[in-house]
Amino acid sequence: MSRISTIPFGPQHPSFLEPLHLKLNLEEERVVSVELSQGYNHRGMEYAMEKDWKRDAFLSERVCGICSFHHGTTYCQTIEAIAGLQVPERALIIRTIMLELQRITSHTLTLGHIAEAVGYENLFMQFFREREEFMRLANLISGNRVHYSMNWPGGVRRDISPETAKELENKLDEMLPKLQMLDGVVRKDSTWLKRTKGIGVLTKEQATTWAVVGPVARASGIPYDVRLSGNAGYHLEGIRFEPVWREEGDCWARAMVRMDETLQSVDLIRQCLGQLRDGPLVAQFKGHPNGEGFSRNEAPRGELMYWIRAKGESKLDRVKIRTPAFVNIPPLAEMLPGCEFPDVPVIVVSVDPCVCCTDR
Amino acid sequence: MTDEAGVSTDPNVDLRAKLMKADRSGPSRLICIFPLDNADGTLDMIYMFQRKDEVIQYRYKVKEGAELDSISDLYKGAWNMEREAIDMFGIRFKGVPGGLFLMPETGIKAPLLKPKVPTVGSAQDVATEVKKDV
Amino acid sequence: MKSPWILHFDTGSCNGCDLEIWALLTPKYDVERFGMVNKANPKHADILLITGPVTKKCEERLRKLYEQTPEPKLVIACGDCASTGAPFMDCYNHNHGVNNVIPVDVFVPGCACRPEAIIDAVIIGINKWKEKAEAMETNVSHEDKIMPDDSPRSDQ
Repeated sequence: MSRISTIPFGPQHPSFLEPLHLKLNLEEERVVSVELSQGYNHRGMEYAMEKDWKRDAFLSERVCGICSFHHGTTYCQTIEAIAGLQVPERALIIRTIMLELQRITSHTLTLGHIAEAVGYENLFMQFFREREEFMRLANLISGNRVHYSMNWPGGVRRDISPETAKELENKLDEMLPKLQMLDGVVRKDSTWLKRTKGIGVLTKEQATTWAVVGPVARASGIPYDVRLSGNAGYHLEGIRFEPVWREEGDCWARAMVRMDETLQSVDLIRQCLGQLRDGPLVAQFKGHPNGEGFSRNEAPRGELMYWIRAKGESKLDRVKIRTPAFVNIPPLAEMLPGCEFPDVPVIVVSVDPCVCCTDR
Repeated sequence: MTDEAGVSTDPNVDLRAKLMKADRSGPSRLICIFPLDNADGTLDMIYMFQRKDEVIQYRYKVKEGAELDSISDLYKGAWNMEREAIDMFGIRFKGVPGGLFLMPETGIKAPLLKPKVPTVGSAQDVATEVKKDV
Repeated sequence: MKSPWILHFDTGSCNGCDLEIWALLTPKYDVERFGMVNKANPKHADILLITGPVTKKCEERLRKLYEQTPEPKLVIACGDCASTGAPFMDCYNHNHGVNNVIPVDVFVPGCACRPEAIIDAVIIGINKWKEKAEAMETNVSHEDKIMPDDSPRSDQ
């Protein structure tokens, strides 16, 4: 006769970086059901962002520290859509370079985090060691390791000098073999495969009903990537890429999608550096925006959308932020039941819950 | 991006029929559900979907505090979005509880509603109250 | 007084400072060479690294963690939001800084604070920590100590 025991998980827990509470109901060692409790990170950003549209170019970055440049870019893109601004090409390319750099740092973070949840400390340290080089590159270009603050509605505020572009290219050439070595581990290592293959499966039908986005959707057989719609610099000539996708839907597939996207980002940055031409950095804009508009971008975790209504004054009427983690976390209620208790951290981390994005 | 249904004012009547008709050719992806405050006692409810390569918005005008049908049986992802709308705007959905982000004991209710008359428990009051403690 | 153990808790920040705290444990900055280990158990911890302007839902948890950590302890508020609540000053759901909830010993500025700054803060804090430990020892010597005769084992 087995009883149901309830185990609380979080908000302060070694596996999670962020406060998220799970109430797991277990029978023996198997999870029967799970209740998620959110709201530990809710600060009220949508309320604060209505106060001043110029300050929001920097405040929107503080919604999340891991995908901060994506938030800033999507905000600026929305204001540009409302005001009808045409962003100069050089600014679009610089934005694309920084977006891809942020994507690399985010994906290596997640992969290291999954390695730590699996118990593979060596791999965790190696991912973070490679990640430090990219953080140093971001620091070189923008002046800060996190929160680059390079965006302004209409373009960018900082330029990439020819010397910096050369150093960026040399560093990418140096880092690529190291990333490829890590790719070999994630693809074939037997410890890794035993802990991640077949665990936490999300089928294509479940993925469609729950409306998941990003690597979680692409690992379950839905090959959609917002970058195909051509925001930022992805529509420019000479920049080509194909969305990476798989069909298995388990933790291994999600990790592989992220690893392949990291290598793809290195290639995209190289393509962008090849397209960098001289030109203005920002389209001038006077006055206040007036109207409604929305814009989307492919954050490391999926589709990020900003919807703004402005009324021609320094205050904004409504700012709506729809983050990818908001739709990616609820399917845990379907992925966790049926799995064993030691697999719970691996599944939760493979979905990449960014609770600061979810709760805002 | 196409905008459909600015005319009908009751999503309870209109939305479900439209969605079921459109989904016959393939499932659409729910992007977001959120209200806007018009500061005159009405809210605009916006439902955003993606179908193939297009983004489609359904827009309805409802009264503040109205009770709407939930679409979380058609789209499971709508559950949390409706809970957020309940917390932030005080609107209600049949069968959906609030309390996703806000704790009732803090006294903060519907912080994103535009202030018409200052009331106790509104976000402005809480913000000034906390600053006095600092 | 060597090798302080760390407990890290995020009370609602944007995670920028949390990433920098995680970067401390990894090869480039590597605080493990100072003996600092990240243990998730409050009873093992000597230093509490807190990020985020304490949100209303996290307030009670933070107080409980603080009470469970044994003396002498050190509380370091990492980042601008943990120190003063800026840049979230217009948001409604938080307490404008960790020192409004529990007493803080060292504040680290920066958004996000750099790992070198956090290491600096720990070094500055260790002196304070030593003073607290010495104060505790002098206090105990004035109070009644449990002498060996009074211990339960001596009854057997």
